[in-house]
Amino acid sequence: MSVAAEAALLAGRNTRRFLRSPQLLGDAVAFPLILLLLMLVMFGEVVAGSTEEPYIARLAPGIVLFSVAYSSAGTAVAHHLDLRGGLHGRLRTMPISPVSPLLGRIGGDLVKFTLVTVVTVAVGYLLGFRFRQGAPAALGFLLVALLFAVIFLWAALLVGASVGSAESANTALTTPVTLLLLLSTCLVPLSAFPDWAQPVIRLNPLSTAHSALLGLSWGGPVLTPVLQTLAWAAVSTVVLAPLALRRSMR
Amino acid sequence: MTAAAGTEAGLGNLVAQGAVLAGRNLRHRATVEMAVMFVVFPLIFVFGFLLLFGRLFDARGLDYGQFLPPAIVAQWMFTVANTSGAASAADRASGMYRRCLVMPVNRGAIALGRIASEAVGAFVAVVVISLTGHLAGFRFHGGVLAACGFVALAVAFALALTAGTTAVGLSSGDPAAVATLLNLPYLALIMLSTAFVPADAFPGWLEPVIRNSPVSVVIDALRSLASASPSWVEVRGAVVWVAVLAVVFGVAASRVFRRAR
Repeated sequence: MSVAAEAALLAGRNTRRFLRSPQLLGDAVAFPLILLLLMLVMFGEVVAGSTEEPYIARLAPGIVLFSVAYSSAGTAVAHHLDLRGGLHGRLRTMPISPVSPLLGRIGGDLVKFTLVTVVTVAVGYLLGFRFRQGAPAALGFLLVALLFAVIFLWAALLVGASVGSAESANTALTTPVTLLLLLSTCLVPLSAFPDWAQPVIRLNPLSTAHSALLGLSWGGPVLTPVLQTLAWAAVSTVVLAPLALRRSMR
Repeated sequence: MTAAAGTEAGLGNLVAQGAVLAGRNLRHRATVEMAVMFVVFPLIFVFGFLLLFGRLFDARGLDYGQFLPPAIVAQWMFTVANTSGAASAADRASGMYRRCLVMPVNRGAIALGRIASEAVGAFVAVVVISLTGHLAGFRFHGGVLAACGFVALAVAFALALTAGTTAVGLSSGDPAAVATLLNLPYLALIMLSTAFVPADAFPGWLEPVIRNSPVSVVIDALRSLASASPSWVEVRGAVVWVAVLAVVFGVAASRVFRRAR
């Protein structure tokens, strides 16, 4: 079998496990929706005065990105349990590529993130979020969200293979991801940050992907933020993927 | 059974054994991870939120550096309580709780040990956040007495919440499930309060709910105690709320406590 076919098979296994667990499914879908509603009532009035777009236009893409980044913690835990539970050991005795289990994990999670994005955007629509740039841009919105997911998925696989327990796999990712959310343009526009912090905030992967999503839905620059996000995904793949693979083989 | 009674009954045993169990709870908690959290968490939340909202609120005439730290204190009091609930669940799962019950250990000492160790944890947290807040411009303007009131109210709030999370933890016995279960009410209560955003910034229909949430009442009292002219009416309201929570959660916890094995 080719690597692609092996990875697809394992991705199917991971997706089925996800879809058949009401708890995992509920967590993945309910968490972004609760966050979307809470943050809309919390920050809507404060931020709305300082931007031209309605707050939901900024918040909905922000919540999509945050839930994708945040659920990389779930990826790390699942990968950790696969390694500890012996699934990887068993797969390694079989004539398949050593990369396939990792690609299978990533493929399964991309399916999950597609679902999360679609549901969050659908609820956002009820609250006033709109795609003003047409259908191809809406498809681009989903692709950028998935491209963004790749950045955190490689980090999650590395963390899952490196930590001692499922618990620490979780905390090792949720804390930095929460910090990245606060220091990004997902919740407030760049101009709300102090001038000295703006260059750093602008390069945060959540900010670059958020600019791209905002451009593809409400309107605004698209090419530069997409290229920046692509660069983040490329760096993550080149640097973290070999490390994740090596750690997982041990 | 005089020998057994001699080792477990009486006020002296209650205090001595409570201290031993409190020490054990604290040592259990004293990991490198926890130490890192004690340093990183206040920095992330104080400076993260300050960067995020400082400018927006300054434009509205609100000194966010003074506004925010009491909210981070309340947020961490929730964390203390939730961690404690998971620890109680772990004690039941591991058999530690049952072992205390079969040994000549004063029943009250188990509860006292938990209360004492959480009080220490909450106290350290309040001090750490106040110091971090100091860097962000947070000051106690109301004098030493008001500052002591600030610390006492925060710790009392943490202990009242801990009674509730202990009831949940002891009745479940699954630390991971308890941690997840407690996370949701915590998130909703802290976000739907005046913690990060003043009440008038919420939609009008939601404002009465936000203003009267016990979390808002406690946080506003903490802010008042740090201000130049503490309002005793606000503080009294918070004290009443904390007392009510302590009684309700305390009764629930002691009922679970008696039945748990």
